Amino acid sequence: MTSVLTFDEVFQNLTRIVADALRVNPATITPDTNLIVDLDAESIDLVDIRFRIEEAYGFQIEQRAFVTGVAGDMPVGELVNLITMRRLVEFVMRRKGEAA
Amino acid sequence: MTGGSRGIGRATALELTQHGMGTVAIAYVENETAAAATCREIEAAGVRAHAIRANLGSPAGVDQMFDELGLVTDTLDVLVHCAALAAFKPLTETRPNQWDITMNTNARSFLAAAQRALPLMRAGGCMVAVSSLGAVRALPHYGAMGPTKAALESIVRTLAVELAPRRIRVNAVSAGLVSDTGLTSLPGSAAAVAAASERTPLGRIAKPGEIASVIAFLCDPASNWITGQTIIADGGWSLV
Repeated sequence: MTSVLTFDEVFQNLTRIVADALRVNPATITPDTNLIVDLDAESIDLVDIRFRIEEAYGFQIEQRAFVTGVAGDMPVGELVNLITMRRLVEFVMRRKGEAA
Repeated sequence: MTGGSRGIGRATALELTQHGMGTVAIAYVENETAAAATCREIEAAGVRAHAIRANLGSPAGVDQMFDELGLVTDTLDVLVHCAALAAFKPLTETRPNQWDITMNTNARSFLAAAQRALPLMRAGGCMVAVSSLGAVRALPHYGAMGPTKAALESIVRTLAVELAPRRIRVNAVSAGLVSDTGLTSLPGSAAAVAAASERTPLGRIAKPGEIASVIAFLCDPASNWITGQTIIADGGWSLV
């Protein structure tokens, strides 16, 4: 039987991944934390985090799927406003659900 | 061919189809569409093609690449390492995770791939790594990348000596700016291209095929007295 991941479980796991990658205090990360605006993540950091998520959850995420999965159909220029922990969690839950 | 879906990797994969390869396998991590397109081009040249998606930044990714490669061949004549992740920034601003992911993807993965390639490679086998001038020069915004390429060139020299008794040659090709989609997607790339073209004695930046032809030469018996070297192909940029 496949267990369903809760938002809180995925959020806690992704908080650990992001905090490890960016060397920030996990206590400062909330669902509304923006990786780029609040944590100064750069493009190489987003690649790093994406690979860490792949390893943690056992599915592959191509760059295009990651961007469109997290940001939807928004123009690339507006991505900076969209890479929040909440959207990241929802993306992983969606992908994990598809893989189940 | 790691990093084989685009740019120098794609051009080299296509060039090697003219050098008697039975199968050309390309590894990629980002762009499945580009990898599929490159495979179609390889097959159009009458050579079997195989694409493997692998994150070479982790040892598990290198193992996965070779496990998949083992499904299509049990021998390897040539290993070309083009895979690279870029963080264009000063060295003083490079974070530990950025150092790790670029060093592991650009340099450590070549060593890991070489180790996995050895059981498949016979006398006459060749390994070639793609380096850059940032390995030996302090280039603007190249602080995070330069050390990875320096490590790569050092690995090439040491492997060349260690593998010479097995008659396996190991070399590198060092290029300056190369025109490909990876370059043009970078902010400020037009100014960088203009500046590099201005400085280069041959008056422009390289095309991927011009680097690929040097790599192919180093994979060919015509270069069988060259090992452990980094061949500079930069249109003369480093001379002035």
